[in-house]
Amino acid sequence: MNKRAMSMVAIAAAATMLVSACGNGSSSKGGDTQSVVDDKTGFASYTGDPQKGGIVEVLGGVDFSHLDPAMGSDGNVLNLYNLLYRNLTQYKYNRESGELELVGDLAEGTGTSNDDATEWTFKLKEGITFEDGSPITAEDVKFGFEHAFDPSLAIGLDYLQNYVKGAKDYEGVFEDPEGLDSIKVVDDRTITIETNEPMADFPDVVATAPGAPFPKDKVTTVDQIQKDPISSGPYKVDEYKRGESLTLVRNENWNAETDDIRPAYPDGYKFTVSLDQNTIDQRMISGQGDDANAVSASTNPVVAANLAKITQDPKLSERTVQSIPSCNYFMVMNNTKESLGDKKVRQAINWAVDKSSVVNASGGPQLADVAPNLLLPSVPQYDDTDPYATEGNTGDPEKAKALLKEAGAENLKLTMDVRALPMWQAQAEAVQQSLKKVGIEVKLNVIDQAKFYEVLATPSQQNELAITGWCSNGWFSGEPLLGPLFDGERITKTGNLNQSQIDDPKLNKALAEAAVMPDLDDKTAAYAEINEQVLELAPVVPLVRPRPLQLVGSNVGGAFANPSKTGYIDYSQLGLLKPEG
Amino acid sequence: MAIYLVKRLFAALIIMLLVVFFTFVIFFQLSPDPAASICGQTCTPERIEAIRDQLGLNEPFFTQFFTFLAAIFVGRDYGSGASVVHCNAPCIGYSFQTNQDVLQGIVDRLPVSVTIAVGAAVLWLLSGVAAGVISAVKEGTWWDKGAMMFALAGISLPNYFVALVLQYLLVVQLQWLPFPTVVPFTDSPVQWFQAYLMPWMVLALMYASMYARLTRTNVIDTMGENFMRTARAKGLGRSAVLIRHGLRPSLTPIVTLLGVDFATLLGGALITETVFGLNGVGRYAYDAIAVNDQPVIMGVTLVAAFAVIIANIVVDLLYRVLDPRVRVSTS
Repeated sequence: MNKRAMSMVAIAAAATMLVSACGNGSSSKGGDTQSVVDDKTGFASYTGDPQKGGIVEVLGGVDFSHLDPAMGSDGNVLNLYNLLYRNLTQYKYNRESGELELVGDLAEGTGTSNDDATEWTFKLKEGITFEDGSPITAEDVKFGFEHAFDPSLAIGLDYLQNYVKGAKDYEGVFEDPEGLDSIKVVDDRTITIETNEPMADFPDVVATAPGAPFPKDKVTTVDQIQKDPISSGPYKVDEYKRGESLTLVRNENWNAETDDIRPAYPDGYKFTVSLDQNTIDQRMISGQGDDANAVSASTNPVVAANLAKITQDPKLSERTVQSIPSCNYFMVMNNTKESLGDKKVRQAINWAVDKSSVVNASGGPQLADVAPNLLLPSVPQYDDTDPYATEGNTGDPEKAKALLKEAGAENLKLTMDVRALPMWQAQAEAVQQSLKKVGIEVKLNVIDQAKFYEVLATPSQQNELAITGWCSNGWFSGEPLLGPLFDGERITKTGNLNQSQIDDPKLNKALAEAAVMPDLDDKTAAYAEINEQVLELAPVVPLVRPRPLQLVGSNVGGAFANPSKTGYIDYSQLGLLKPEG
Repeated sequence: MAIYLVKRLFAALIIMLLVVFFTFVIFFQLSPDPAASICGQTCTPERIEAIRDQLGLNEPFFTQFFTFLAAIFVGRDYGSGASVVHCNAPCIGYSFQTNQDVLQGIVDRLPVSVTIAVGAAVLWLLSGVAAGVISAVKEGTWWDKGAMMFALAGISLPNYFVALVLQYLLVVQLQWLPFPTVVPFTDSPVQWFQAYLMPWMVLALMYASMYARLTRTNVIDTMGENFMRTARAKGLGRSAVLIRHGLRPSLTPIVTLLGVDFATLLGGALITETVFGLNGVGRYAYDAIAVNDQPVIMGVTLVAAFAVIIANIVVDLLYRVLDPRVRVSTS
């Protein structure tokens, strides 16, 4: 068994654990449609087998950020990209076995590397085409990468740019059409890519959105894809009314035989955007007319106020899908502040926080789990390690007080930066109450939601505490989940992601070593150790993992939570149960 | 008349310049860094700098301001080299979050806002003025008291609340209307009408309440004027006096109010458009505010200010047509 295959088994095992953890069991409903309901929650694990045909509608409150896959990074737009674009590799999720597998998408497999994982070769499948019927060649894959590296487009996921040799300094394909020497076209179907350091996860990296191919001879301006996307997936854009709707129709030149990831059941999709959150819930609950063919977008999960209505009505629960956790919410403790410089104080705060109250502030146990640590359940070999675990997750004020006394840090007064959104403020207030019990007075500094991340990313503007979150976008590894947040070498004056500003030499060294490990299993094990190391250093307090709900129309099948789609319903698996109505 | 018009237009130009200056200061100098907003949560200092360069945010304030002003007349380029993005004149900004010319974004959404404004204005004018006149004529009766209480409620209830209640009653409970889905009038006039009916009703309730109270007061004042008594003394009937002599002076202030209210709605009925999912100028601004898309926020502010200034000029000109006393005094 090669390393990639072994790692996939590990992912499958972790995902199976997660599926089991989601409920005590499940039962099939609906006769022919084979829908599955989680016995514990009453929510749908699967809404039944769809048929070919019809139009699936998606109701959302927020327009898509960008149609160019180099630019978008939020879960909803990444989900859309999977309908329009294909990559060298892609994740395939088996909801029954819980197996999340990285497979070849445009490529025949997940690539082969040299011994130190610095040079990766991918062989393209035969019969893959763009929407105009022209074949997708290795030259187009190279062009797609280099298009994504253009400095004016590279605001999306940056993993590819970080790891392809020379990509960070590349001026973009329009400024430098010669392209990067590190991406070599061997022949029409073979491409070799050099990384700037050993990169065992590179097949995961090429699965990220900026890795989509584009025809070299047909893209002439930097903003062309944004305005007029060129599809390589099963659907293409028919009409886009920004701020209103996006309509997709079948890409007749997509070759289903080359794609076993996307079943492409419906004839098209209609995304209606800019709807009010309450209106979306009301429409989905009523399910009138075409709304029976709709799902709510991942940008607009059910609001907590409507939760009771859904849980009290089994018919509504059975068409509600609960997402798989893909984000950790945590409280950052600014290590550069004198009051938080001592590890014992930070550990005391970890003991003091009543996480169950933060879960309640996040909508209750039906909408959020406690976050025991900083990895995610879909990470291979994940376990729920938590050195600060307490009965009922209510915290241990006595232990916290003892540690504070030991550190000589009693009667602390701290300020917490809080994003001006109701749930975030409620979480902050819950933490404030917990810390009050151990004699720490917390003042809340509520910041406009548009300015919040700027403040947090600028060390000179940060206060002592802040609640923030960090999500996976499909690549389940400690590298994207821990590296940017806790590497002291990455602290910057602006755009800083290490917001606790922890700068521990041992931790920095461990992160640097793990990143370049050529063996995937060693790498996974190293990050598991780093996770524990971070928890011991306590730069943050892990708080909750939200598990939002999405409502599904009564005629929509194929809906299930997919970890590779930031835990939400995978649009590409949807279809209508009865396309003829 | 021509001199008056020239003076008014000149004054409008000065006001517009001041509006541009102050909005520019507020949005580009005092607000969160637009480059950081574009860059999002996962950002690096290099990226922020690249975006700042592309937007010209590293230039001195007055250079940025005059570049902005010049772009209104000659357009402008953002960035340089092969990655340049051009914004055609009249360019009031370019959104790098939606990759769209701001003015084009507003123009695309203006038909929805105009439809909302026109429909609501017709409703509130008819109902508000009629209720106000009847209340004035029946001053002190139960009709008057009831109408004015209803008007007070209409002004007091928040738009958001009225919109949600209306939607819940008419769509969810009674199912008299479908959930609003905008289609072109030519595709389905019935669906088009159904989509706009609730937004019209929500706005009309608020504005009609104000107009009813104002109309009532004006009509009562006018009814007490000497010329009204003279008309009655000459033997004209009560209705004839009211219609021929009472309404015209009573309704002149309504025209002023209507002009400004209508123009404000062209700048977007933000809450109503948001609740009913209508993609108008208000919704455009709302989405932009949520992500700190400053060129859009500023563009909508400028267009809304422009609409109000133009509406004021139109109202002043109409005033001269409607009320001979104004013509005499200004000439």
